Amino acid sequence: MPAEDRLLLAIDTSTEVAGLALYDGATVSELTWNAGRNQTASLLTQIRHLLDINGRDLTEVGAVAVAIGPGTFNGLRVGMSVAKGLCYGLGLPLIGIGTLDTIAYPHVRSRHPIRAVVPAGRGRVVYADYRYRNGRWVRLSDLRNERMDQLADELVEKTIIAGELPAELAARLEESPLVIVPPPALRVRRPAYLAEVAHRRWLEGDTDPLETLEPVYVHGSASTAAAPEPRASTG
Amino acid sequence: MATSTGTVILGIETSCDETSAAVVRGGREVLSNVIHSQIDLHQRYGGVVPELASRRHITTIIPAIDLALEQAGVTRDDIDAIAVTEGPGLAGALLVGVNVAKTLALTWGLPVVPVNHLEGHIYANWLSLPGEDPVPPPAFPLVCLIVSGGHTELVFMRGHGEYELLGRTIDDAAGEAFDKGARILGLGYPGGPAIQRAAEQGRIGRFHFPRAWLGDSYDFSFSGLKTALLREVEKYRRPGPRKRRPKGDQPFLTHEPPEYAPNMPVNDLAADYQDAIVDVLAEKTIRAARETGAATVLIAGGVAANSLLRRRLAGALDIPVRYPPPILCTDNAAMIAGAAYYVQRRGVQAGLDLDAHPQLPLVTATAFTDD
Ligand SMILES: [Zn+2]
Repeated sequence: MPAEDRLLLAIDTSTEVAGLALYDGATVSELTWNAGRNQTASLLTQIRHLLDINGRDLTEVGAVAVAIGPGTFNGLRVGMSVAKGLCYGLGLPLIGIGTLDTIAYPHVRSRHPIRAVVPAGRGRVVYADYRYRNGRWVRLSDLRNERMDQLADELVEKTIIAGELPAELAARLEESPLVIVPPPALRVRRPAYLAEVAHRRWLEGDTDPLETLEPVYVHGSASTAAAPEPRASTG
Repeated sequence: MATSTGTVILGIETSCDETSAAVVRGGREVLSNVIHSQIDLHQRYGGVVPELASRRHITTIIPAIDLALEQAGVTRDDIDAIAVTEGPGLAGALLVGVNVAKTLALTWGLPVVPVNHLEGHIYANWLSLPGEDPVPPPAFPLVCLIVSGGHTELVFMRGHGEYELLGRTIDDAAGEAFDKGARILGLGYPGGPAIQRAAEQGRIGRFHFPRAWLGDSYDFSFSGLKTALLREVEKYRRPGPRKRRPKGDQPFLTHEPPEYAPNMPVNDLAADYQDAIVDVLAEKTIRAARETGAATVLIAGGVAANSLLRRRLAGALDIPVRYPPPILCTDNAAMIAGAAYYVQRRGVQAGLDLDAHPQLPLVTATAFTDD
């Protein structure tokens, strides 16, 4: 159980848009920036910056959460390496959260099914479907790898599509009567969502093994790593 | 735990397929050297798969560091600096070590010392293993031949941190030539020891493989040699698939050993193939040592374990020919922590923005004198 004043530091380097959040269970401070492929050069500097501008110190951090993907392999490795280094160096618990879970998270109050998407390069996306069932949100599908232009092809009911979508694709999806496309700022992942989902797990003592936690690698047309257990998020 | 004094450096090395962490005192004394080898992982592919190597580092790096501290009998309070390989190497592999090193340095309030992987190989010659007497420091000026699966460079050093790159491979590395040769001959991976073992059972002189002398240059080329071996071996090949396409849960190409007629003279081919590689490595190193007036010749990297290479050099030169013990020849973090001692003395220190540099060249730094 976390001490009341201790902070959770959330790290998300799943894509070229990197994000950090500090969360104490009540107040959240966030930082997102376009890291490109320079996550290694910028991540630790930004962590110190976020602590500094909030007048906090690394010693006040009590847990570290990290986005485990899917995403770019090297990007995920940067976040995972820094998260593991922090947890080992400071003796902190580590909490890994699926990147798609944090993309779906802000849309759960609508009760519409949610399709959470991350870009996978070369015109492809990786996605999973979330649905509200028996009072809980569950992830239905395994991670799927699909051509971007076929993302909405087999939908049968009105579904929210969220994630980093190219503007042109978003515009095209909006024309479909079965698709709800949230505005751009609502579509993208925010580190605050990651922090909130992880903070709940921290309170429950549900943490991950420091040594063996690894990213979710989605390769080619199939998932090569078992998707982590679907996490329920109550709406 | 030894009782001598000196800067205690935790080294981290993840540039290729070994996850390694080590503790070294004063640039000379290895207190621990933990190496998690991935040979089992890459064997079926006949070589290192960069993405697989990078993935493995993520799960082995923290246990390696933990064990290195434990085996050295030190805690983080005893550590004075953290050294890490910043390059050259595989991007996805390097960044694991660089990020973990920087993060530990931040949490423990320690400086980060970035080390060039090649510099690490050279400085493996300054190290002594636990329980062994310290080796005398190699005398300058010296010529160092760095030969491994990733590199073939001939370096001249007038003193600490003063590097002059005399030559390097223009295509395959020497260790890569051994790996490819072993793959062609169906001898398995890693290729260096496999070829050497087969060659010891064979006779030299039956096959005349080409030597790429490249004029007076100290550069090396091994791709023509590989092609010549392939041409020789084709005569014995039986048809069959060599590579299996990725399918299902297996996204990477796997290597299937080729099939040959039973009368193929594998050992003789290995003997002449090894001779061709060693010939060029030895001749250029000997010439470099003579032309530069070197007081010492060093061999470093995995191929330094090749006994034919050692014999040729020692037989032709009347100056000391030195090479590290086998465990310090292949990639390891002790050599990084050892080199870091000398790098740090040049005043080099990295910030939190240190990046991985897959193509990092070996360049001369500010010179200083040895104590
Ligand atoms: Zn090496």
